[in-house]
Amino acid sequence: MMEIKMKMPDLATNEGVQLGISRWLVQEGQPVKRGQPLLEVETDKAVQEVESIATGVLQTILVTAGEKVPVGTPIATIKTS
Amino acid sequence: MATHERALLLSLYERMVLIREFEETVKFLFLEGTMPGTIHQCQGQEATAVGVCAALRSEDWITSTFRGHGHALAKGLTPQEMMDELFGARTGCCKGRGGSMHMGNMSKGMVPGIAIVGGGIPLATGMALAFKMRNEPKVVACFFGDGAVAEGAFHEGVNMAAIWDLPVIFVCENNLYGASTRVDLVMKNSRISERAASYGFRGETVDGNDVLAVLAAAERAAADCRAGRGPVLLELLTYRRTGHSRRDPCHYQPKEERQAWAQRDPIERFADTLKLTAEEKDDIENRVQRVLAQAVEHAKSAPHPSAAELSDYVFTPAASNRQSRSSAKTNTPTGGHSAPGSRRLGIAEALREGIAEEMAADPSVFCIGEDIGVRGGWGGAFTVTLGLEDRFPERLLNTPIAELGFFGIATGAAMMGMRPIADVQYGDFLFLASDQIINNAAKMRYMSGGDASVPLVMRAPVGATGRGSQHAQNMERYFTGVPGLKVIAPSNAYDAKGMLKAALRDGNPVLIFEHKLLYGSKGARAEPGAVDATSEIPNEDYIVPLDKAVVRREGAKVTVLAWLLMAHYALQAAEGIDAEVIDVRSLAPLDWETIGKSVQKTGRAIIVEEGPQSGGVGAEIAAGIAERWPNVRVARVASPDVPVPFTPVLENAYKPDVSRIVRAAKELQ
Repeated sequence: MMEIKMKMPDLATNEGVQLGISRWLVQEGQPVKRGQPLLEVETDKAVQEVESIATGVLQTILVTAGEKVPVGTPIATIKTS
Repeated sequence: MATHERALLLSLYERMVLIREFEETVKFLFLEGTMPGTIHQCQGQEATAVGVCAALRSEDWITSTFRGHGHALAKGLTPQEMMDELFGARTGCCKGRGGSMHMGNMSKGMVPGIAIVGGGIPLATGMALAFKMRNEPKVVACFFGDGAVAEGAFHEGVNMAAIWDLPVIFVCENNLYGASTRVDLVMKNSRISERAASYGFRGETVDGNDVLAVLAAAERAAADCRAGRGPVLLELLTYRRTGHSRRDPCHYQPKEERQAWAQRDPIERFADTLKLTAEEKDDIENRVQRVLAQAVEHAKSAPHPSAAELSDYVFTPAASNRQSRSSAKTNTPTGGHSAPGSRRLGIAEALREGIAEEMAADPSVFCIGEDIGVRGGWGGAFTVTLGLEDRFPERLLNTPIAELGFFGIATGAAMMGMRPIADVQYGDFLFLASDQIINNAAKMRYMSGGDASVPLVMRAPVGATGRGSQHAQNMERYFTGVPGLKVIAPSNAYDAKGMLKAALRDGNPVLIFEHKLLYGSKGARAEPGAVDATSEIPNEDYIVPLDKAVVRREGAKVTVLAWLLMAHYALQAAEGIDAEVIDVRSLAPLDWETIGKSVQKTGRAIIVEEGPQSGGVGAEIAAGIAERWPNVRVARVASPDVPVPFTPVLENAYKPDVSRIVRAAKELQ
């Protein structure tokens, strides 16, 4: 059993841009597989799906839809088995 | 399939899974922000790398591209050395100097990945040329994408591989997109394999997502190459399931197209073919995951190079060169070297003699260029190689008019241990070859973390000689600022022969500039306005060091620094102005010791350069003097910032002459 912190990936095409979360595609408590689309992120160019980095259960969403955060900010925790 | 053992088939499957999972692992490390740099990944293309490399032997070679992780794993690089490299660690396969785009390992038959599209094609051709010249039954598999087919490097490299029947498998991974642009937008005939026929060899289009089809095609191609029936072009149809680079969400790939190709996933298809049980798949998956998890864990704490090591691996050190070269000398002693005395020779004759002696002493030395060894021809543009084709018919390679191609070929052959001499007819043509010279020859040693060497000699005539703007430029300036290149410019026959020999024994890429008015070429190739640059050439073997300037005349009032034709003009000007004349001779690196001793004595320096004043070698010398010896007054005598004109009255005004040197010296008093 391990808790993995997922961070906002470096999708920005310009340095220092904050990335907004458009929506979460998985709800807290639901199972996820590595590579499964987990959320949508709005970059300065386009809306892009971001995949789960691990297989397990999406335990906590740390940044809710509509918020903007810098690259590297923890956005969710995933509990792996 | 019946012809292959199940164990082999399982190993192919596992290798594909390893590539897929390596790429996925790396992708998430990037998404997390854990890893520096950028990546270009190959998910979906695993069968091309694995199928081709399974047809190769361990002594065969591959060249790769910026999308090279799959090729590297398929050729036998370990996930650990690659993961370490991606983390920038000194334990990486290129000691952290290469990174994702330049993955390679010379001991495993993979030169550093070439990230210039098409750049590996001439290089692979040159590697194959080395094997053919040495009668080694080795094959080179040259990976490139569909985008590379539009590059001139493809045409030039493939054409020369064809005319010389070289053992290269040209592996085009046609994944339908060059970056984001669809293949049919950039070529009228997008059936890439059909191009082979126009060069006179065999091409084949293969389902690149069927590893056994790829393996079978690559085995046929390798067999053809080993039997002397190469090259072969394989077009492997495949699909990239991921972005071109790490921030590319692939919005240009239509959804239906992605889904259709997902149905043809090479790993899932092969699992079905092998009728793998869920348990077997899980076993393999788990084994691969364990290996990768361990690789990541180790790589995260692997040691990084220290900043003090920044300049390591730019050049092959001198000590190892002498060693490797002296053994070649003793093996084949040349006649006539011990005879005392000397003869008076011009530069063209002295170079010819030097080349012939080195070729006689070392079977790895060969000449490659345009019109260099054609019977009844001219021995290159300025007679330097005249008649050598009679003595060394196998080692004077007359090329098509394809400077980018044959400089790449020379680079590839040099990396495989040959000592090529590549020359252009006019220095101006170096611009065509510059990608291979600057991006490959000069950087391969560094990018490989000191594993690769490029013992390549290049020769180029320069100078304004009544030929207008494009056969006249002084090209020194464009190459003296390239790390990894040595640049020399001998002004007399003694230096020309001695420096050429030193260059051939040096073990690094050395570019020799020669002046058209100094060759002393005879007959139809004689130049009007030529200056006598003949020397007494000793009968015994000698070399002139590559990194030493020389004082041609001692003087007290001013130091005049010049090279090539201008060194002769400087000597003519020196008498009346009590000048000390330094023939700079070594342009990169510069010999600051000799320069410093003189300018500190005279307190004044004039740099004379044929070529535009702005951005010239003279600017570099002037800055170097000002930084080191701020009390020295510096002036430059150079050409104005205009292209070289044709009409003699303007050409004479363009070139620095004796009177301008004298005037500059007086103004500096």
